[in-house]
Amino acid sequence: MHGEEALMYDPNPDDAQRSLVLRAAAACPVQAILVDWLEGRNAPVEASAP
Amino acid sequence: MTTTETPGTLRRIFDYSARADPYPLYAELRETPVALQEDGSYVISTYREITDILHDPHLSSDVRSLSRPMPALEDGVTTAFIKRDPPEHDRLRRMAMRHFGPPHSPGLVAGMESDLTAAVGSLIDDFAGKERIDVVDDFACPFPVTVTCHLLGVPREEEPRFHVWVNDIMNSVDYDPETDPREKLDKGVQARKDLRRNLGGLVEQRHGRPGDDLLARLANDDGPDGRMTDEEIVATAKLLLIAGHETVVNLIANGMLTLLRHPQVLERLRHEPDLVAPLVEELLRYEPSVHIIPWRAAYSDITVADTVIPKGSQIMLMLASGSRDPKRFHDPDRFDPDRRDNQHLGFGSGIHSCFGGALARRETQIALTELVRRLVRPRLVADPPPYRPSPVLRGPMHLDVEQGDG
Amino acid sequence: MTSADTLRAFKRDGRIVVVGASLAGLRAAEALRAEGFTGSLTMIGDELGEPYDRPPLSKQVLTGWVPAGNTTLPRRRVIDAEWLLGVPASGLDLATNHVRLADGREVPFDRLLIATGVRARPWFVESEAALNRVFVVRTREHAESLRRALAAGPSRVLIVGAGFTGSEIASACRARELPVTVAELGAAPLAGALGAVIGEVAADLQRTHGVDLRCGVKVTRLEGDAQGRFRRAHFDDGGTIDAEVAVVALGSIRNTEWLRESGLAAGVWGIACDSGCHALDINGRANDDVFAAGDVARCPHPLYEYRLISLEHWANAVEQAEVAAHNMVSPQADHWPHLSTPLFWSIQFGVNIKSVGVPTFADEVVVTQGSLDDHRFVAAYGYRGRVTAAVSFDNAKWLRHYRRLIETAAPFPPRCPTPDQPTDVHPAPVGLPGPSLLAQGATAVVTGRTR
Repeated sequence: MHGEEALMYDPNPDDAQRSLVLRAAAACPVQAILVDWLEGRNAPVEASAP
Repeated sequence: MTTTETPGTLRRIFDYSARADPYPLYAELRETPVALQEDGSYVISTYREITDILHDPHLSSDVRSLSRPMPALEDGVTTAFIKRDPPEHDRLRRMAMRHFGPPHSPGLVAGMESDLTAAVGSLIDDFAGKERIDVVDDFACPFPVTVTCHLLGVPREEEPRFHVWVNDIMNSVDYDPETDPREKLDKGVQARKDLRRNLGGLVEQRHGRPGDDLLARLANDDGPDGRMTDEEIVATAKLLLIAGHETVVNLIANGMLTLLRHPQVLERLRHEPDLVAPLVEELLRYEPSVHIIPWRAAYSDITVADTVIPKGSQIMLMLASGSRDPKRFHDPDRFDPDRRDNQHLGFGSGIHSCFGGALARRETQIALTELVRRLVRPRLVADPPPYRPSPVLRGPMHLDVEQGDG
Repeated sequence: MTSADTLRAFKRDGRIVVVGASLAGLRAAEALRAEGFTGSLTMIGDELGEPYDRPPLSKQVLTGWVPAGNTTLPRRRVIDAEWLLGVPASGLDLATNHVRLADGREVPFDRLLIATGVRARPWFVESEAALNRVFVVRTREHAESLRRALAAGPSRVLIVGAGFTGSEIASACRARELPVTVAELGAAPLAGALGAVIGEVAADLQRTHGVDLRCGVKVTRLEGDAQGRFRRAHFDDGGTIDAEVAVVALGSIRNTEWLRESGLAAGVWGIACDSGCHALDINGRANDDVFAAGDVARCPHPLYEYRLISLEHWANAVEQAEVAAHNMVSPQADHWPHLSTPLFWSIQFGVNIKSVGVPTFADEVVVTQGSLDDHRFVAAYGYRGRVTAAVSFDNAKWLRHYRRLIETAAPFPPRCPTPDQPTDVHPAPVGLPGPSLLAQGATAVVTGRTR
């Protein structure tokens, strides 16, 4: 928490935090925490060849 | 739109015969989202209107805002923040929260993990071999008072007295002048006095002696908002004990009941521990422990759903009805632990939303996880079970379960 | 072939190109797939790597808590797209429906979504902007470079511009206990977005946290040493300040240059759209096949007399992306209007600042709850006697109510008292800066009619 109201979080916590993250997401009163369930990724990290 | 609905529905909800399944009556009530009652009070039963009004700064929790005063249970006693409005409410809640959660005490509930697990484990140990147990008396009931006592720093030897006092107070809350002996009410009043006196003593002892428990922290703190007075600390501690008791008892009992009624979900929970967090949220929506906020007051005129509720009016909020509102929740009468977008009203909403929510969640999560793990083929003995009298704090009086392969 | 048939065929096999692969682009792509679009999807973006979230870049990345690389956006679903990253778009040909990339490639489309967003406005003197240790913050790379510079423990950090980004960066520096000077042209921090009254609170907040705040002051020159490292800044009053790091936080420039020849109504305030996110051409006609969403778009809003509003808001990017995506694959009769009330937040100096509506669309402001001195309050904004916006400092739960006041054009000032209403407080003029300062710091800008 930042001050008494604001919430800042680590967008990519490591897997050890997994159940804490799931609990926090479930408990958020405005359901603002989006948890990514996907394993794979599709964007390449290098520029594609012309 | 306001009409005076047939006086029947609310009365029928309050009648004991509805206790096992009030939900069809809630659906009837929802046909008139903001319903003016004969006595001039308003009953709100739909999700949108409940959340709108709980976020309206003109809604007051202070008895003095009512145009028709309410009889006080205790005179001249400092009220806890639950019965106050901003700015005083905000200040007191902030001071209490300082030692209960982030940012100042972020690890408090997490730090109770082993305490909670030990308490749950030892309670289950006591009935592990038995063929028949009462989830309420043997497990759910003793658990929360123990937890709150540990949190506050009540000495172990004092705990049994706290159990009795809290019990007497909770009994007196259900007091019905038409059917109950006067003694039931008096016992509650006495219990409140005794509890206050005992807590006051504990707080006094802690002045100048910093410690880890909540009473010590509150008694010795000098945060940015200053320190609570002793009366304020006692009021807060009392609030935690009472607000954190029957609510958790009922949530655990309602939870076990629901799981026993949905055996596939129970089985899933045994193999997927991560399910417990969203499952408890769904429980808070589907079968909560607090069904009604019995009263709030209009500090000044409040507009909700095109109705103007006049200043001074008393307002009742049907939380559990809102949580089953089909306009907000898809397939609301289905218990679905995988439900996304579950902004339920199980802990209320707005600035007074349950202070102890984080602790209540953890208590319930651990309790249900361990119960399903350690009970062997649990079966409900009676469905529906006998219910407690209260339509406000709703839950089974006893939840008899048979287990084992016998 | 009916238009319904055409649409069905398009939804099945058509080609959609999204130019801009950040928050709005990503959420639009996800929404397209959620709507059942099974055709080809091409994502074009000038940045390499996974789409990432920007709010942490001025906060927890700078304090060192979260690595810049850990800001990847969570995915709602699998997108199945072709990603052309690392090369910006350089032109748009609406006669042939092609996007031209800077490397010469031409990408054909049936329908297009423009979500190219904004970039940080650089320091106005190129040679000074190029000095070592002069930073802007918009991308992951910017944030990582600045973080490294802050971690080295500079003797002082100078921040030019006290809008939301500049203020958040100042907050992160103070969290690191670094000496910070903030130089702001206007009367107070955040004044461009929230007016002078609230700006005063922001000033107090900064000073309470040890910021050396200088308002009404213009930085005229960034001076470097012989090694080309920033060392000193000059002010218009003749004064100077020595510092080892300079952060230029002077707002954003919309990425619309690539659309200059396209025929679309694209300019410094973004791309004009209708309320269904269809891009307008220079004659004010909506294009059926070209859409825009996010920071780059300006859309009419009924709450603000249908003037075009340009929002650099996270929530707006997400919502507009979803509206645009839905409309791209739906029949006209099912189109959604983008009508949600603007919403914005900032986390700085231990305070959660949140606003609903458009505070710059106001002539008066009044504190309705709490106390300015405590830095804990709600203030409502009004235009000609109607509520148009509200801002909260650590009182966000109440904004839902104020959003309703805005949406119902409730009277301003609000009539009924609340328990925490400050006594003896009256509406005051908002104190927004004149047009010359509008470009800096306002995240919600009223940008006139259709051109």
